[in-house]
Amino acid sequence: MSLPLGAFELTVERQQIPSRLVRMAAPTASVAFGLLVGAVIIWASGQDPILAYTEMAKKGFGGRLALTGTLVLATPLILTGLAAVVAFRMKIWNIGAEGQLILGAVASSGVGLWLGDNGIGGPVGIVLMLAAGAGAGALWAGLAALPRAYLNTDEVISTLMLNFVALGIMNYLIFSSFSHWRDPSRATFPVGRFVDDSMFLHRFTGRLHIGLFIALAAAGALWWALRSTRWGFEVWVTGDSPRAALYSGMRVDRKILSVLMVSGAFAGLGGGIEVGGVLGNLDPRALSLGVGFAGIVVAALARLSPLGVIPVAILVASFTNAKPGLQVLGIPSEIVTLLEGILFLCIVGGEWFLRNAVRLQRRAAGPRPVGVEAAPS
Amino acid sequence: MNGDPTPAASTAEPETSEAGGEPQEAARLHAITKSFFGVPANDRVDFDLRWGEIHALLGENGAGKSTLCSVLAGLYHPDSGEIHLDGERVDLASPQQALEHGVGMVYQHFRLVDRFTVAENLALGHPETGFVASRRSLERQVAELGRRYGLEVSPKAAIWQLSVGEQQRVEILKLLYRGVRILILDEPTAVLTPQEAQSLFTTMRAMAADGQAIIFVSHKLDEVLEVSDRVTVLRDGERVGSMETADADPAALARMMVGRDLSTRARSRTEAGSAALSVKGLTADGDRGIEALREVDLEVRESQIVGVAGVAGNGQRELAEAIVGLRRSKRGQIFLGDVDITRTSTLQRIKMGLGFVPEDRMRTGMAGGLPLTANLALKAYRQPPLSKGPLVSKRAVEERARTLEKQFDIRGVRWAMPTSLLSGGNIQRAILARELSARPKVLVAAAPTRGLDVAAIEAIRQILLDERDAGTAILMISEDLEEIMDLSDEIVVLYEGQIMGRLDPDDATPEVLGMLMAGRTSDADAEADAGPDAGPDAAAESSGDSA
Amino acid sequence: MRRFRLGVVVLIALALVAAACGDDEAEEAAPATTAAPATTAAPATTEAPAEPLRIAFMYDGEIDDGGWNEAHENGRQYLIANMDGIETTFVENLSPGSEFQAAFEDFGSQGYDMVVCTTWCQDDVLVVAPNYPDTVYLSWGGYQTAPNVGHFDGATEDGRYLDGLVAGSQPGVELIGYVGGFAIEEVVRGVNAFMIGAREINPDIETQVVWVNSWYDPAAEQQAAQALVDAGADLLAAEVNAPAVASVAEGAGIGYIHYGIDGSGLAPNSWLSGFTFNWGPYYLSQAQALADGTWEPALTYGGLRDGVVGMSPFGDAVTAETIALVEQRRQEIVDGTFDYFAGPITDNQGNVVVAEGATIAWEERTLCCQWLIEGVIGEIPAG
Repeated sequence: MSLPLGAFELTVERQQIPSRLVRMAAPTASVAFGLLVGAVIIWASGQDPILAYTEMAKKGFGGRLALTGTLVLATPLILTGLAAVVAFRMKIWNIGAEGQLILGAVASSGVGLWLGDNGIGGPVGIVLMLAAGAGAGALWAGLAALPRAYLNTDEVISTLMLNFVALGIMNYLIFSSFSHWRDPSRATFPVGRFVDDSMFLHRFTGRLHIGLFIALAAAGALWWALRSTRWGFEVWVTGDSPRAALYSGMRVDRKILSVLMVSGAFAGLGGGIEVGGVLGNLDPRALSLGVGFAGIVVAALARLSPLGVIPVAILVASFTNAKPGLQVLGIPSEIVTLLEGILFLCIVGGEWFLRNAVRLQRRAAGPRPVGVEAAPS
Repeated sequence: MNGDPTPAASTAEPETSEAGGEPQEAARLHAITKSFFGVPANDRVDFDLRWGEIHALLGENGAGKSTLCSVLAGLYHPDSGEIHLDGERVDLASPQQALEHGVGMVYQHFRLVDRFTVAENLALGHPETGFVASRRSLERQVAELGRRYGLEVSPKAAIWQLSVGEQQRVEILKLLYRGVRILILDEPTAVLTPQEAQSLFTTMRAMAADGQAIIFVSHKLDEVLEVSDRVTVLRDGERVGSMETADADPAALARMMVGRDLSTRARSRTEAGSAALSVKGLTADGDRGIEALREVDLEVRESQIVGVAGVAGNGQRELAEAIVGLRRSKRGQIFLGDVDITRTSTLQRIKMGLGFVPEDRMRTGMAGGLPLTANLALKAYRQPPLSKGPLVSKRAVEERARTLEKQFDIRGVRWAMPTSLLSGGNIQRAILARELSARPKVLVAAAPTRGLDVAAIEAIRQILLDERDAGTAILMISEDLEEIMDLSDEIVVLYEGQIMGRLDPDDATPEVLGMLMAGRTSDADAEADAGPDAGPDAAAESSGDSA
Repeated sequence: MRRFRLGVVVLIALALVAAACGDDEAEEAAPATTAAPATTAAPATTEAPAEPLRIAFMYDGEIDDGGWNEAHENGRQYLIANMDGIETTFVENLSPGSEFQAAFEDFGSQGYDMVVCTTWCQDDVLVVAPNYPDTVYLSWGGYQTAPNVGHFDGATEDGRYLDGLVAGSQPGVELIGYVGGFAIEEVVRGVNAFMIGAREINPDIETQVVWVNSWYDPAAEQQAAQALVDAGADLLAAEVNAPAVASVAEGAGIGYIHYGIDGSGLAPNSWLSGFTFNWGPYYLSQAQALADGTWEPALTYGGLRDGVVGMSPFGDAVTAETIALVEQRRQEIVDGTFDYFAGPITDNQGNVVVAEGATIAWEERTLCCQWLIEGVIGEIPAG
């Protein structure tokens, strides 16, 4: 591929995989470059970039409060990130983590309330509640997985549409009906009933709850499963070449089904943990914030590595956690979104430059500068 | 040209038509050489074409026919050699320039805009036609050309409404409309029904009678004999010879096309055992839902290699895939030993001892993006020691890979390197390593040495022979006749999804094989006594006794 | 992955360096927290008037949204203009749940004196507030107080009743189109009061309600408004946040009644009226009480009488006669001599929901309504 530019031409060629050192240094350089671009934009909008970055670091990680705030925000992001990782590994484009998270929250709160109504609580209740969340997410994803596996319909569209259906269901349960989920005694503003206190996830320090460790364990489990199980091996092969998978006797349809359901289970577990660890009830306003979509960005930034999702989710969460602090300084909250976008582009772009050699050179037809040929070799 | 011993080749040297001045010479290509990635597709090929003749270009797949045509059509620039048109040396830098010289080519894949009408497609890219102004005259001309050459097609029809045969007519019309007088047809009958082919031949004759020159590319002997005035045979990128079709002996032509002397093989015949793979009346659809395999009967016994010969696209891929379970069979049965496996899964067949070396190595035989270590475990990962319950032991997978790499001499493997970066020979060794390490009872090997270098070919063939001697039943599908004749204990020829003939390799001469592959049943001088008009079934039956 | 982690490690390292300063601040704040109980319950600010009262506002949308959040932002501006010795800040575009909780925590840990959350956030406040007893939290719509948590709400129905008078006085109006967010009590209560006002003037008038099932969805609001116009509505009213309904009314050349803020700029020709939330005086009273050391947690439900609800300037199409009537009713409500919710009231299913001689008491207002009044076409989605 080449692009003529006057007397020069820009050529792009795929190049050999670079050395491991370069590959490790590149994302760091990309992040640094992204922060630099972000700094220029902050400066151009009349703010102090150093102040902004200091504040972001401080509000993201500085001290116990900032850190717990960041980690609480990172918890659902890790899980939706994992949901994207496992599906994308097999080139199944599940963009329905949002809906799967919502359905997970609906099921978790529903089961939690039912258990509470029947006098069951404590650790047993928590396990059942979270299992319900994961199961509902898996089933919701399964709705898209079945036609994908057996009719080869486009999962992008089906998973996307199911997001809206899930949102509608949740809004209906709280805003438009007196359902099992809604608290009938509170009329000022429609609110979900709270699950029994004994089923709130244990809080360690401040608002930091056990959900973070469940998410970390989930990341570890996915990492292990992809690496060490027959299932993971089959996902690996199918993701690279479905024909080779069929050839070696694997059931590709079942793999699609299981991968999408595992993906949905992660997102659904995320919804359950939000209910058990942060909200305590089904709160439509707090569960439709795009965490499912953010998970896709997290997974892409983590280069589809289950363990990589953890630091990336924490980083992205730290940005979000810094939003109020930045605004107090007079830096608009959009800067945070912008910075996430810039970092994303820089990392993806850096990856591209790593794999393609770009050269600006004089066009072949043009006169050759003598000095180049005379240069000592 | 290449010191080939084929006797019939030298009877009519093309240079008989004096170079340069002769008025009847439409085109002359001299010593055309064209390489792709260092592999010559045309090696010093000479070719000449007279006005008013239909000149057939005959050869197997990959013989260099399309390359030569593309050079004349300006699509490829030759590495060396000369092109003379109407006695004048030209340099064709693009198809556009070839068109300006009156040379046009109808490719195997049509280049028409589906949503446009016939007339619009004709006007498209025509330098001298302002489209709107001349629409009526254009339609008149189309109708006139159509009448004259039997190329009737409605100018107002949209391309997508037309049959493939009609679309081909539009392609020809397009060239005629642009003033082409040298017409190249690249395998034109491959996409046509027999009736459509006959109609095309009528058109070709009409054009030749009008003084135009036509190059007709084909690998089907019948057609060449039926329609052409002269024939040039290419093989392995070189010209084997040319002759007047009227003088040509079908058997000699077949031999020229296939080109080998009787084999030099050192066959160590082992006693064939009982039937390991039996295929009965197998019928299956191709990817486009058209029957690609019809009523195929086959049997491969232990310690036996059955070679399936044929020009690519005659049902070989479908046969292999149906046997291993990657393609549904519509009718018929497949047995592994005594067990009917027609409805069992691919996995079941693997477990029952069916190995498969697919022709598509990079996407089917291997997951190209994965390291070789993983690919070597593709089937064995299910059993101990590679797996323990639901787990796969990384260490066992690696150890196995190291062992197989050593045992099968697979080289160039670096840690975590995608398999696709290995050389073709090493990839094929690795596939064989994986398949054979499972100790299969039956091995289906498709195009086992295609695209490999000489050393690798030798090694792979030796592996197959050793495996045969160890008792495995091997069904080898190959377009390489030398390979078929050297390795097979029995040969079947596939043509248009049917078995055209069965031969003992000792009786298989290139002539016989070539004619069967080209869709002609054996003539009087061949061993089978079926009449020339007998269908494939008759041939199969009559020669079936030799199996 | 390994590659990316390196980048993150660098960033985290940077963050931890910066954290050194952050920790200092947190430690400074901590002793103050423990010191407070020793000097009675009075907030520390009373002792040192030299130190400004720091007040933070939290919005879940943009401060210039032309609706809910802008009304609250106007309240903040009122506070700034009318009280000395304060320092305010605001954070917009926050989301409920973790983000709210983090912001409450952040302001609390920074020693803010008062944090105002302008949307439903009671449950998030109650998670954080106990940890910051020196910070007063005010939340909209809540009902469960704590020693440092109070709530406030505005009587939509007061304004809606007056808007209904305006709508009913418009000549030739037979069907009013009403675009609502969700069919929750507060919105339904507003619709009912609106209808009482309209029917007081024109007993035959009807109102058709469409729920868009969102709090902010311009496309859905636009569609709903257009559907109402197509159904023959000759006046549009809205209780949603986007300006879509106003522009549909303007385009159709019919009257428009806005919600919560002066929206005359949105539909200059169609504009009739729209009650306003005036949060400023409430904020001022709370801040003043805090400065004076007299602040107590309370539930404030403010209507016309408290000045929390008012009216924006009327449009040209509203006659002087109607304006006079609206002013008269407003005064009567303020004086307590008129009650638009006085029974009998019948719902649109024909059931008497408020008997003759009964009413909906002020204290019970927020529990109403789960029924739509007679004359309203539409229903509350069943549950």
